[in-house]
Amino acid sequence: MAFSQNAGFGSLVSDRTEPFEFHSDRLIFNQEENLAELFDGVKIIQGKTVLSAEYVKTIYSKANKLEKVFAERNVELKSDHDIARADTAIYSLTDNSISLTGNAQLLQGSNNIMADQILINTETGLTQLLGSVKTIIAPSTN
Amino acid sequence: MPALKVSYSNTVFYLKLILVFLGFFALVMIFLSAKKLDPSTEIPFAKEINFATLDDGLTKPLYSSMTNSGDELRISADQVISTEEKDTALIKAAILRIFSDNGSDVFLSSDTALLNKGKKFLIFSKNVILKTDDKMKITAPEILTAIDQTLIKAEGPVKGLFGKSKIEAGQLDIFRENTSSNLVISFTKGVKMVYNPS
Repeated sequence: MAFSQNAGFGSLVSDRTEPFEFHSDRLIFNQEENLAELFDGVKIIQGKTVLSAEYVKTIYSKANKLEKVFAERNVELKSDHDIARADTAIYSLTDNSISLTGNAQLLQGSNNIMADQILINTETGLTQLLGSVKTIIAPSTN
Repeated sequence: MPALKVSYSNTVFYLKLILVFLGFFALVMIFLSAKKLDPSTEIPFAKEINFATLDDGLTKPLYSSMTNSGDELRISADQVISTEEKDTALIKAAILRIFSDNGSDVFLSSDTALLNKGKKFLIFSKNVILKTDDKMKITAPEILTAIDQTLIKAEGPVKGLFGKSKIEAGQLDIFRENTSSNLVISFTKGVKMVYNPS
């Protein structure tokens, strides 16, 4: 089962060209494998979009270009008023996508959608909810 | 007379035997009483310099040793001169290089450095630049490095540059967990890394 929406995810599309700002308590570089690991209270800020997690691994190309960001444990992606939560997230800069899996949950306004996977295209804003999708729509008070 | 001849031969024979055992015993005692030295923990740089005689300075010294992680450590400088503190020497234009078997390389340079012979460390200060494998460039007001192990430490503000990433942190630690592990470059205390994709 799949559910798609083109409304976008917050300001993610306009934020994608902004610099990434990583904050954490500890950062370990492994230059032999061209990767960095960030631990404890990690926050990645890109424009108005914030990805937070307990553990983040960043993978670089041979030319030291950031290619992928893996996030684990208490993952939350927040952009403007939209929030996505999951166990893990993979932000691929080469594929222009963010994939959230494991207890994935999308909160947009009063809507609460749960799915096996939330796949966001950072170029177009297309947000896809894949696998078993469950939607809870809050009734209007008017 | 023949009986005396036999007795003389026996005496000489037993004396020779005793001499052989004494010689063997002496050799064993020499080896047992010898001071045990671990070549990996000896520091030629600190051992060979008598700081008290460095009033006029030692020019262009070049030393190398092995750390306990198996890395080769080379220190070169323009000049080494004594200080008022015992066991401490001032090094001008210090350069330290660490070479490892797996090809990783650390280059550390500064205008001045203090070598503490007793505590086996060097403190680099003034224009301190650290480069790792030509990938990362790190600067800090002071960087401390051990000379008997692969260990580099700096307290903030530490600034790093890696490709398009700029790093700021309060502390830097570079070490090897064991002889076969990769070099760990750890930033702690309020880490901020900015990556500019454009």
